[in-house]
Amino acid sequence: MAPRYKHVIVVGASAGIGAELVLQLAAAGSKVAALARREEPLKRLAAAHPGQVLPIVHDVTDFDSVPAVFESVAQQLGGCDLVIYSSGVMPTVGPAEFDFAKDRQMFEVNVLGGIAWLDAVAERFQSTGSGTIVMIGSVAGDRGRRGQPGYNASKAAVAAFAEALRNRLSGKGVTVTTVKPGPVQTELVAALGFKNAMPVADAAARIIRLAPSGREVYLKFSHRVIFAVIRLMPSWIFRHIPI
Amino acid sequence: MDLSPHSYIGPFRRLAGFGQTEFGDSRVCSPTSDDEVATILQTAAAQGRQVMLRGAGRSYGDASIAGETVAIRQDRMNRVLAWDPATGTLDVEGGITLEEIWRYVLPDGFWPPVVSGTMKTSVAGGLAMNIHGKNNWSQGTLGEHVDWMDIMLAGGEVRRLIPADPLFFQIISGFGLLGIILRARLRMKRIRSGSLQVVQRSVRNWQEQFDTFEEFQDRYEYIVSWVDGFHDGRGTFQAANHHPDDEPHTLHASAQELSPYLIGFYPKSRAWRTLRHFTNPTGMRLLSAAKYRAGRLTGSEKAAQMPLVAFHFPLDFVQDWERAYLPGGLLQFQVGLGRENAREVIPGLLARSQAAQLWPYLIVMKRHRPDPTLMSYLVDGYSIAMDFHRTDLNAAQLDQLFKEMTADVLAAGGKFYMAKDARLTADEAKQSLGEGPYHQFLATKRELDPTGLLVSALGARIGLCDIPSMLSSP
Repeated sequence: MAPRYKHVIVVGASAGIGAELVLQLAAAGSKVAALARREEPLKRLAAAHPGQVLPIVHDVTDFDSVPAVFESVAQQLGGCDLVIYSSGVMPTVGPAEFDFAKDRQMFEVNVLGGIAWLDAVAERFQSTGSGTIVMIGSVAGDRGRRGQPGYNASKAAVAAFAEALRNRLSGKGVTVTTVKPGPVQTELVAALGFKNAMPVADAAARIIRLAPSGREVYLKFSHRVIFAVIRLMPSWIFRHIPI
Repeated sequence: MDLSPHSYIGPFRRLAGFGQTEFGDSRVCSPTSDDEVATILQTAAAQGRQVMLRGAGRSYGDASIAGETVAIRQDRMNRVLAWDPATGTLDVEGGITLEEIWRYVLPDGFWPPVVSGTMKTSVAGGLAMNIHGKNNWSQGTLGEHVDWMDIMLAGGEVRRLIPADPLFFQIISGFGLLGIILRARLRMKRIRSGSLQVVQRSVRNWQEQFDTFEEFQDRYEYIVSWVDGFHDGRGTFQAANHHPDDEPHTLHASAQELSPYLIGFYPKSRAWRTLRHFTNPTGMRLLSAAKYRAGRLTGSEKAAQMPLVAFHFPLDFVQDWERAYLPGGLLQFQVGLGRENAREVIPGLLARSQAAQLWPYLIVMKRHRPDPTLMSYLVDGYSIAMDFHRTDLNAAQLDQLFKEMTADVLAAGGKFYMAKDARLTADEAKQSLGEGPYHQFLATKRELDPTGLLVSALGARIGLCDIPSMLSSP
């Protein structure tokens, strides 16, 4: 059976959810371009699915290069009908630490890299009247928490940008889905020590299933409920919650 | 690879085959001059892109699509360059459509010598795909009515070809893979009237179908038959000749316009929406039965007058009729079979599809003769065109049916019409076209386009060009 998405680009594919998305999409028969800064993990992905995975070394903070890289990758794939932006960094920030360099890095990778990619992709998909964009956000973007101001703000920006794209493109045949994973067993959140983190394979499978939804989605029903409450919680109460 | 934008390289657009089953995203350009075409070719080559030629986009399958290419549309190179009513020779740019041509020449008492079942076809696309009409048996293909063509090769060189040039009948039938047809001189057919004299006969089975063709083929220029896809060969046969009398009042476009309404009040532009409710086996069985009954009631050996346009292009007046097949689209299986095999194989194809419960919703039969083109699909025999509604549910089953019918046709030495095809493999194409012509084509392709700049999804599928991908096919 033909895969739902024939040609997929996963940006931020060297580890975690991005790498797992590449493996699962390739296993389902898609041709997948896996983009990341580190070459070695990409080679491993390509070796796992020979002829299915195209490894491309790319730094998302090289913003000016994005349109040409996108077009070149699509040309090498033979098309593009799904782009997943999964690049993200979350450096450890101490409870009393205010480090602009770290915050800037998070905005450059999580937000500006994402905008650079989604602008390029949206322009093409709008022209062709077809295509799906998946932006990997986070539940961390739902509120400004005391623990990760920079990360929370970056994911909030990502969600707002993706929502705006969705509103712009929904009538033009383009699907934009924002995925807000909770804790997933990735390198990114390992340092935070979550006990009930979702397995990466499980998260990736749910993201692929939810990609056509064209909505803002959580990966668990319980997350949807919990974060609906959290979003509605008055600030003067939220600031006393130790998260 | 330098992929920076260039003023001649247009934005991405999704291009579809007319059947709406095949798609590809290309950067689309509409040049207006030879220089612009040459610049696009040079720019694309310099940027590491490939180029795909698209006429009016009326090929059903993937002949005028190829993902990630630069698509050159010739819709803005559609001028009449010279017209001589004394001789009936018409010099045109390749992007002109048959509709634009007949509207231009009709007032002077001329008609295109060969027209396809739609008037929306462009001359360049029609020559590249070597189109035919209902008069193929008597008049051959459109390419047989061309005095010369100007073509541009992939490197930008322009050549004028005449029928005596070895390349002439390779470019015609060359699927747009050998060069761009910039201009052509066509010989128009002189007519006295804008009407045809049409006779109609209701036929009850395959035997009668074939017998009727052979009875009428030498007396009438146009012969065609509709076949009911839900029965065993029954249908309605039509034969027509140009009206012999002078009827100057019919020689203008207004005399050819059909009513924009069905049964007097329903806009034809909206008919496809209604037709959608019938694009299922039950609905089409009913419509086919009604059409057959109507044919029996109105069928007459007495000639009735019919405007040229109404006879040749009835579907063009049901605007967007192909959309009735959405969302799955329309796959057509059109093949030519020699006279010696056709009476056995053609009924077998329909029987096979009926046994698979995949009924063709429209079947058209025509009579053909061989032509001088390299990649000819025409034989001394018959063609059958079967339209299938593709859906998500039947897609795999339909592909299997096409494989089986293809095997039947190949075993009988049959040919495939690439303007309609979307499923043939390279090996099947080679077998059908013949090893000799196939390898000759590849040799010509290497000579005229050594870097493989000109491509199409059809060409890549049947092994006549290469669209490199970093990955193997899934």
